[in-house]
Amino acid sequence: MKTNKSNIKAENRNHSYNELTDNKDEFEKLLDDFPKISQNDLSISNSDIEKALAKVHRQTYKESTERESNTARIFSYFAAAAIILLGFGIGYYNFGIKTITAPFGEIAHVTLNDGSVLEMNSGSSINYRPFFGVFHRNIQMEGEIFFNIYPSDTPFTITTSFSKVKVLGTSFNIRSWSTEPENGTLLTVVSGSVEFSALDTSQSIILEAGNTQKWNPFNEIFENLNYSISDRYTAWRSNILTFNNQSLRSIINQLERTYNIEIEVSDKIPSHTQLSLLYMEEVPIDVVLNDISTVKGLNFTRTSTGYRITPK
Amino acid sequence: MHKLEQDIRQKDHFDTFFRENYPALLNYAYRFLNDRSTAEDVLQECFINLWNIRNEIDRNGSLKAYTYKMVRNRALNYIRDNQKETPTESFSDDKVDSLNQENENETGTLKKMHLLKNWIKTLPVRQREAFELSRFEGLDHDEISEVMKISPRTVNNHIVEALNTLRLKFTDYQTNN
Repeated sequence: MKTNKSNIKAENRNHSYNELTDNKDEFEKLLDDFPKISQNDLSISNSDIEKALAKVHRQTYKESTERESNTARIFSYFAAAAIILLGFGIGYYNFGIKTITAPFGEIAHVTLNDGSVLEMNSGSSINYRPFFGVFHRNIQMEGEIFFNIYPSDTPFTITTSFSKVKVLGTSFNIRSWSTEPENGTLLTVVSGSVEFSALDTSQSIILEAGNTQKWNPFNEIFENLNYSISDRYTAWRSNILTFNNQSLRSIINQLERTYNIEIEVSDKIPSHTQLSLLYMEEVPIDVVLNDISTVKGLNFTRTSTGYRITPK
Repeated sequence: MHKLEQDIRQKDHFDTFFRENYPALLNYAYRFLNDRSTAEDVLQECFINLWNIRNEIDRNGSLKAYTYKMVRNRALNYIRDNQKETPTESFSDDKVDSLNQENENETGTLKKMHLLKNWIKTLPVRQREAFELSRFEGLDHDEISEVMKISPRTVNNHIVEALNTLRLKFTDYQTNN
């Protein structure tokens, strides 16, 4: 029996060896292309990676310091900015696309090579090609960033998942999370004027200081959001927490980034529930969650890594 | 061989290493554990540990191999400690997709990719692991030998054997279709 089996195997081998010479290239090519085309078992998004990294940071920070006090928190901004600037300094001499990310729980202050100053809200990121500030001033962004663009003849362009913003030298705020397409891109101009255009259509507008417009990628229109208090959109810079008729989901996303914690929301709560919140000074997270729960008739409980919100 | 990026004692280098390797490592852990959130937990522990021991790691060795080894050990330990909860314990235990009608609509390269994926799943466990680490995770034979605790020669044998099997199946398929 045994010999029989191995005979067949040997025959098979010989048989395929002849074909081998013909098919070798195709087989090799198939193998080479396989990792590029074939999907992995798990799909992992950039925000999955950032969340996982934030969790590791949370655990590794614990050992060193408790960052409860205000001064400690302010110090951590500087530390973050210093690390980011260091990364930038190294990055500049390297080729390839460079990325700068503001960690969860922190606001990062970044000065780019062209002299422009960026304030990046927690979890936001930018990336740009080599020779930024030398041959071009184009960046891509995700999240919420306040820009103070250094005046220059080279236009500064910012591309988000939904839109494009082009300026020469002004200051403005952009909020654009690719994970929240319903919120599109929100642009608030503080000084000067800015060209605001859609990514997929040819629509574009010029926005003057003191105005806020939202590009809505679903309806493909610009929406005017001129509230009497347009500085609400830049309030996050002074740690003021403000939400204006935002969905619970996007509020929770923001709280997770700002407080660097995990908040689990029960499926039973409709995610499109909207509400407005305004805190003029820094408040502990449980105060915020308590207010949300009271207004919306929900319950919140502590978990090992954060909080869970459930219906009453 | 030894690169600056391998030095993860600086926080931004550690973060870069994390971002570059997290997706592949999560899939690697998932293949042992068959459960995403368990795989995420195992990975989190590994990276926290990696940060805590960053000053003790031999910087002339391969950091990637070291990390894969740690993920592998912890995944296997988890399975050992939770055997009752996790009946599926071997590397290749995930189901081979059946070639149903849906897949018959696939043509050319896509169909062959699909077949190849299934063939890889039917390889012997150790062969498959060595093959995937080499082909898809970009580890060299020395690194794989460190991760799997087998000699580089055995690694080579596994990979050659796996390639032969796959090539055989591919040529068979080409002849019959």
